[in-house]
Amino acid sequence: MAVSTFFQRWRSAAWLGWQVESNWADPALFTLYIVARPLAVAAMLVAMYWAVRGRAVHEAAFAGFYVANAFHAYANTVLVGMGWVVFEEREEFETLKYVYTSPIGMFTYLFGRSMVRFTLATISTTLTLLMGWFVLHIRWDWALVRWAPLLVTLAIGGVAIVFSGLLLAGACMVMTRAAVTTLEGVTLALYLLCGVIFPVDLLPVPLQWVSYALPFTWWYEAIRRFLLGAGASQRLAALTDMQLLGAFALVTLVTVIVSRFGYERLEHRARALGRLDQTTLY
Amino acid sequence: MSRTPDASAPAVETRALRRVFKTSRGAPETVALAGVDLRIERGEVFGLLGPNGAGKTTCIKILNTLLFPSTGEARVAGFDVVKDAREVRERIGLVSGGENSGYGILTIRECLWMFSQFYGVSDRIAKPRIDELIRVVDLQAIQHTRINRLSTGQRQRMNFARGFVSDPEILFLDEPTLGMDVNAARLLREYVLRWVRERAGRTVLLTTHYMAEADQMCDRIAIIDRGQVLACDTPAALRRSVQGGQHVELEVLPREGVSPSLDELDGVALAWGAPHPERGTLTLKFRLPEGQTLGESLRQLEQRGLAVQGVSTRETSLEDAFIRIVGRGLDDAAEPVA
Repeated sequence: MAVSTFFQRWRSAAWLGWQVESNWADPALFTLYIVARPLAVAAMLVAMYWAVRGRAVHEAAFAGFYVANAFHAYANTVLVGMGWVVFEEREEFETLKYVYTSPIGMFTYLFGRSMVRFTLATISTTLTLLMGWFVLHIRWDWALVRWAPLLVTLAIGGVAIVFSGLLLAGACMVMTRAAVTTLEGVTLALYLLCGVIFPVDLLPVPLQWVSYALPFTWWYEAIRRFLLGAGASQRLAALTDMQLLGAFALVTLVTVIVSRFGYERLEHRARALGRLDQTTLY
Repeated sequence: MSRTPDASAPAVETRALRRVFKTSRGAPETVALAGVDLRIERGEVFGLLGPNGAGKTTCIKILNTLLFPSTGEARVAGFDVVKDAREVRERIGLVSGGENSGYGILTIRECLWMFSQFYGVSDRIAKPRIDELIRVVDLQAIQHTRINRLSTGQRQRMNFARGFVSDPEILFLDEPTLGMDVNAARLLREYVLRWVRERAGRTVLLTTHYMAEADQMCDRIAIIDRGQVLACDTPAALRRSVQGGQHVELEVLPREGVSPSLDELDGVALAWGAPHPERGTLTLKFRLPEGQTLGESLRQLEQRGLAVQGVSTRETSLEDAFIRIVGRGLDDAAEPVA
């Protein structure tokens, strides 16, 4: 496929994503939604932390969790969103079969559709960090931010999110109504397992190994270290910057390979079962 | 990069195509296709005609790469639907009738444009084509209306236009006029025929419930039932296969205790009956063999106590051929009575 054709198809899928995400409400309500939602989530986190630790919101540990929580918007919105696209297209719009039998290719389509969600996640993360900076005084020293490894971390994280989303989209093709609860479960499981709001060291040992197999654990740890100067996990603190980035890259590479082949197997299974045009919500 | 198609390859070819749906909890499996052999040449309008559950849509789904066959082979434009699905998708279009699909937040025009982009059609070509299609389906006045505000019929017309927006080599029309009003259905049938005639090598595979639609549109028809192709020929040849003798329709008033069966009528090989509960009568359709008079048959019926309310004779239709081949009419409930 020519690059121009790929771009044309990707752009139209991104355009559709924007229409679907933004057109359900009037602009004022939509703006309110994209501002209010992340701030509400951040406020909940602050309330939870206050309840557990008193009013010590300035603690370094809280800053780490707050920042990871801000970046978790990408997993919530983009990764889970790719699964939602499949479910929504099949069950609500009933258009999945027309997209699937067109030459756009599901990867291009899902990648394009997720672009708007990526933008929304970026807005959400930025707003949460701004609230932290101005309201909760969760601040970092700009002079100490290590930009190069931070940018590499963000780039690798983007790849991990897109490919994990692809695998989830494949799973949603096979699943029927269970896809709804699965998608909600994935959001919560990642929140729990990847050290968003507490160090992974606190998890039972078997779950720690699950945690280390997930790229987001490394992502949040690397963001904390390169932005704030320190991570949350004592065990991962023993790694050098290069070791941390190397492990993150390796886990992401494995995720890419597993997701790529896993998606193909799941799509094959969905086609074998006749699920691609099957409406299961009734 | 798209591979060069074999220009000599038929538009569609299936060999021993079989699809079995396994069911859970020990229920018996369903054989949707039981070894279908088809060969559709380029430039043909080919019809798949059969009752509900005959296997028509399953066949279309396999050819459109939506479903794997259990066994057998299917090729579209020379490409295997299992191994070369991407190549197949570059060349096909699909329209399914009787459904409410569509992105409610898009307008008709936006939806057609978006699908043209999925197929890689340039804006320079897409825009005039969309103009023409919107005119064909008579949606000009509401082309900027969101899809969630359209009636079912309007959505169907939009979906019909969507199928043509990529100007596909092979177009699959799965009951495209189901639920449409008579006038819209007629206009769309005419457009399909014009589209095929004006573009060399374009092929249409049509599944339909409507005998007249198949008869009017198709160069050849395969009659399919219970997953098997029972006959495949031109509509004229299918009609000829049952020619000879008169085609008779009788409306009879059954009497209590008297079976409205025609099996004892001399020379009548097969008949088909449709009840009219509101009138309390039964329409019996049968072919009277050459040399036999209708008067004799009527006398036999009256001797059996059946009151004949109406009699009509007519030319051989595709429906006659269908009934002879399948053993019943397109109506699911209808079963042979002799």
